[in-house]
Amino acid sequence: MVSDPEPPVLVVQGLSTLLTMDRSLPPVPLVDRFDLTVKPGERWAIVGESGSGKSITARSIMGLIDPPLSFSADRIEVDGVDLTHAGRDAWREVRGTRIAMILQDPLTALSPVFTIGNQLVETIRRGAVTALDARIRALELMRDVGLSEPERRMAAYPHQLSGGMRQRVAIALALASRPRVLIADEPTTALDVTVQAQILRLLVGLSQDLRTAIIMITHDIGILPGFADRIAVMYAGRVMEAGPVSDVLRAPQHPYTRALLRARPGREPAAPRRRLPIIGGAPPDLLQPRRGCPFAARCTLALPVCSDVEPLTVAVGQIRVACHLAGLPSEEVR
Amino acid sequence: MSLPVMLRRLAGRAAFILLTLWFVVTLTFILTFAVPTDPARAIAGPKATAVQLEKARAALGLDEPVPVQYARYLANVLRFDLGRSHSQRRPVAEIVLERLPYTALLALSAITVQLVLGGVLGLWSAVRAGGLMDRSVFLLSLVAVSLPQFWVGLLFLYLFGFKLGWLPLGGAALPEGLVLPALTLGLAGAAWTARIVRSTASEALASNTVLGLRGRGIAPRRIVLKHVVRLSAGPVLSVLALDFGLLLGGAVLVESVFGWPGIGKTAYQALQQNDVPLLMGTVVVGSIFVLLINALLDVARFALDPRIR
Amino acid sequence: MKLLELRGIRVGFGNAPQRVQALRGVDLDIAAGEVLALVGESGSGKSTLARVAMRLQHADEGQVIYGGTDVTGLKGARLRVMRQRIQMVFQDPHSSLDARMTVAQAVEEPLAIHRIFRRAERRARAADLLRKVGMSPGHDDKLPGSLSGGQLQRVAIARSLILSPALLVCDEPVSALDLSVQAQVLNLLLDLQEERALALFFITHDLSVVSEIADRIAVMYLGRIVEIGTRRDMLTNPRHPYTVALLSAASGAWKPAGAEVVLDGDPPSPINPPSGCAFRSRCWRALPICAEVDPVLSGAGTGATHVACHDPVGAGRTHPT
Repeated sequence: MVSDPEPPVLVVQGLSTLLTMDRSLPPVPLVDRFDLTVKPGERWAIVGESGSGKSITARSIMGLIDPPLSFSADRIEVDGVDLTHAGRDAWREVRGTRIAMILQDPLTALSPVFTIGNQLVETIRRGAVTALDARIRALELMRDVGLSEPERRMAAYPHQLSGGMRQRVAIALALASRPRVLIADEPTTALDVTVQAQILRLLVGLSQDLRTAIIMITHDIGILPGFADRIAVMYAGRVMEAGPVSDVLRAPQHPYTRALLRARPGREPAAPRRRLPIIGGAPPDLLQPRRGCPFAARCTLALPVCSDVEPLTVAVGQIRVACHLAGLPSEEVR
Repeated sequence: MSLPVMLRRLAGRAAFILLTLWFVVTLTFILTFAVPTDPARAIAGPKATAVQLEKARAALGLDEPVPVQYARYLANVLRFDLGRSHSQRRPVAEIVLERLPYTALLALSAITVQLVLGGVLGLWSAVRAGGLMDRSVFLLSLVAVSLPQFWVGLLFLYLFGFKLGWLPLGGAALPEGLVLPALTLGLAGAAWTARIVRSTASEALASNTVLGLRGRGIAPRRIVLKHVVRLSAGPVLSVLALDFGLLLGGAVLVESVFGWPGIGKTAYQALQQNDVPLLMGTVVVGSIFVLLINALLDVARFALDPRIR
Repeated sequence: MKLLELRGIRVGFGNAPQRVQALRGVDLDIAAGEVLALVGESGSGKSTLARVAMRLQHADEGQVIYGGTDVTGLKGARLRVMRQRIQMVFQDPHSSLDARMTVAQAVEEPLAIHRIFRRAERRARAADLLRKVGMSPGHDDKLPGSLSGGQLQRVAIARSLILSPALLVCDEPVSALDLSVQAQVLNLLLDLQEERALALFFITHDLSVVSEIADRIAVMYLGRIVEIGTRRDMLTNPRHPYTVALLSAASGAWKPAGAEVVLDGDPPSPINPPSGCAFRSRCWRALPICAEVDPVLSGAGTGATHVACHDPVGAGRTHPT
């Protein structure tokens, strides 16, 4: 390992989020022993299909988990602050200042009944800031996120803005107190394709200029090249594979990642019509007790051991992968 | 939203008010025929001769065809001439205008009780959903909605007026005379409001908007008192507007029980004394009052929610 | 043979000055057995056009011609007969299927509505078709609430095919599905299209899905078709700047080589579109003429696609920047 002078801005170790539906039943793990270490300015993507636990992971890292969900971790450290056993107030202190979040649908994430300016100033004034300074900072933030005519936009309500502008406002709100970590939960899913590209470009720029680390939660593995440095692929609450984006996309180690990449539509212009390679079966029922690898039932390469013994996470080059077949020569695996 | 659109909306609203008023006035006119008393006899007295009765009838214009009577009645209402009360021997308009401020004050106080009591309890229940407070409020609101209003009024009178002697047994003394009528009139509405606020506030608390605010570390108290309150206000005002007519209906009972000298008590007396013009006057003025308050609440809703502008 | 022809379709919603110009003169043909993909962003009018094709939406101007017959003004029984030939699959199967009807009932219902076959025959056909779309018999008596999104979309597809239509209009049929399920549903549509020589009018915002399934691609912007051509020409040699930007933003497995294009701003409001070419406010190649003259869709010049642009990409001109 090369020694890195910059300490990580986020360390998560052994994070589990449990659903307790009934006190007489054992709690159901929706996120299972999740690990993540993020350095300043790094761009991570947590990829998964619905039910993979990616959004709950994001909310757990923000400390925003309410009953019937609960979470625990061996270690959570945000920007040097240890939150492993933190209470509500300690979490609230950190949210917005050291770690912030943007949500999928900017229309519902912003309050419909207050102006953009009101919401920005409210967020900025969490710190001891005068009203005038807050206003100046609000205008500055709006320029930072590429909103034209910020003075006029201050008086606008969210429904008067386009989807792309709303997401820019949401990003400005998240950046108000200069957090070191920004979690973006499907930030472009609700937007038009051409506007998606703008928002991704804006986020990349922010991570470069402000050294804000970004963790993007997404179902769309296609938007990763050009955005993320690193990727974690989640399935049924577990990280199946994590590592540098270029490595994972070029030589995915987990059969699930491979299947997911193959199932992506997008046929070359000259290629003949085909059928897309599919992933048979359905994700496991999280309410059933788990045993072995959660992907075993759908995996074309599964061995008998896969449905009995949960695979350990091992390193293959830069990639960390939870698969019994990991590290075998690729001809044999494919 | 552009000015023309707003003007159109206001114009539409005004047209609606006028139409409703016409409807109310016409209905009261028709009702005079349904009342089993003869206004001419009420004026001329029980011992009047046939000739005297005929004279009174002519003086009231009752010998003319119905359409003519209707037209004259409409014209008079437009000039705010609501006829003469024969029980009080004064113009109806004068009596009603004298009484209206009392009813307005009572209604306003009852709405305040309804909004403050219902709002606080509803918010509290929503924030501590499933807790003891939530369950108690649920039960109490159920009881409060189902109790008859006159019974609640009498209970209050007995308890606070007679037993404890804290408040007067009736009359128009201010402010102490207002407390019990306002509480009685606002109680059921407060229970309704608590339940509406409980559900809209719960929805708001679970919304993405609140998730976003929490994600920015905004203080929980601020989230509830600024954002949740504002997000829940719209539906509450809508229901308030819908129920204001009912509230004024309740005022007839409550004013009579507490001897509060408002329009409701006047209406009740007019009914007892067969004073048809006075009764009609209270109905017409009461309706105007309801429509005005409704328009006011509409404007408030308009101001509170930028999306409907 | 042309199966469906749309001629000069114009549709507006609301009253001036807030009138939304959803479709501003659209011409489009779909041949029998062809897959035509219509690509556009929200507000482009693509769903409105689908509804016009289904005769679910009245067109202010223009004609809908089905099988050579003008069906624009068709009413009553004859309209019902035409509707049997064109069926639709929606994005959200939750809202397009009746929650109180079992899977088998939902698939059988169109036959019952049109009074085709006896009851036993209807049931048998519904069951057959459900097997065909990959639903196991165990699901026939289930209610939509207990099925997954992918299964529901299969049921919706079966329901749309029970009347053996010649044309299936699909409005974002896989957009709400997870990647693994999306591949299954796309494969199913490809199978059915080939077996039944079905024409598909496939509406989507996702060019990677389009590249899998389409024979021809039409791109819509603000109520107009700005470019149309074969799949291969559109993917390798797009000429409208907007098509170039869409391809650049596509997130599929295949992406065209070349510089990344990111457009500025948002699509303008369809209430008040820009003068001249509606795309000029976001176009990096806009010329003075673009604000003056609305370009018409034409195939003149180089390249094989039809494009509505004064200065198509790849026409060999230099551009002031």
